[in-house]
Amino acid sequence: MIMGTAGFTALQCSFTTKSTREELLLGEKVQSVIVSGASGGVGSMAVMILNKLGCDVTAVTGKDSNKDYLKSIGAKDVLNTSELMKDARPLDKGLWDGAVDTVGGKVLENILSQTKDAGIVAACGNAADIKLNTTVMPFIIRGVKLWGINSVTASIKRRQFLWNEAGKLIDFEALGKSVKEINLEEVNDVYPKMLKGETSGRYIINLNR
Amino acid sequence: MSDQFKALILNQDGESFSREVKSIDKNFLKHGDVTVKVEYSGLNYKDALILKNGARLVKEFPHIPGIDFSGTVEESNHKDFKNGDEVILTGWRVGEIYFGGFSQYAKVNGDFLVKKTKRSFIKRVHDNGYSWIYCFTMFIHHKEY
Repeated sequence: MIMGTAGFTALQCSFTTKSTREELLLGEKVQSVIVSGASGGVGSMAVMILNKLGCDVTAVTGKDSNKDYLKSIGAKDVLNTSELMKDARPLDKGLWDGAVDTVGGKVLENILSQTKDAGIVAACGNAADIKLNTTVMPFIIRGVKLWGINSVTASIKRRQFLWNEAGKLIDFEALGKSVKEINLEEVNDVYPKMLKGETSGRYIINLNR
Repeated sequence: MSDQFKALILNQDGESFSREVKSIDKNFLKHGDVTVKVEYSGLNYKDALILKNGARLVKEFPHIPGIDFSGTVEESNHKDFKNGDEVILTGWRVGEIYFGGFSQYAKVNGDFLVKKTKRSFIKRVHDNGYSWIYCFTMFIHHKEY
């Protein structure tokens, strides 16, 4: 459960950003990618997976103290979230071949404007905002694709494929360092802190404890 | 399977919600055709929202939360699973409209389960001046999923 729903979502997003364009749409190689919310569960695993898939990953986080950790798990560059909080222009300078967005809102608006021709932006979260205020320009001028990711109803065939890939793409030792193991009784203490944003890393419940 | 086991039960009484670890028996589990002995369940942000007040995702109380888990099949009436199969579950609204993984046993629809997969890794061992490179292929552990 170190990966869990977050890990499965990260696998889905990463394969969409990279393999869907290269293999399904027969597009060009995906090299530079951006991952928002990179300190979170989905974001950090997406950084790791995309790095293993051969991409140059730019990780976006609001926590500057996480910079070294993100570089240690595969980020080439780290950006502060504030750099993607400006009012997005319809089209900005194209920087990314693909993107994984876990936060929504202004960050996603800016990522869409900065995505290069035919890039896929996989969106799976709303930690910043459920709203998306964008224009049609990235879609009709650059052919950018906004690809929604829902991990609840993915087909069994897709699940089996992605979980099989997990073994090659995840460094469980590195990931394990940010995991806290608790028992069922401790859940009631932890969940209110999680809602207030006071927790970090992943919590897993050991049912034998 | 043991008759009594532990689960976190979420209950609603008017506007107030309670979350208690209780001892229940297997008749309490009402959905699905495969019973899994749960080893690990994740505590996700969505779980925290559900624990607070059901998050409008839970339709019936009492409820067992837990949107993902890994464990071992203990009883199966599903053609694809048998005793001892190691499995993982994420999604399918388990822990929302179906009972989830915050329980030592979970009963779910076998169509939701994925069988355990393998991982390979290379390890370098230095021993007495010699250096060995081992390549391991093993199943991903319950804890790692």
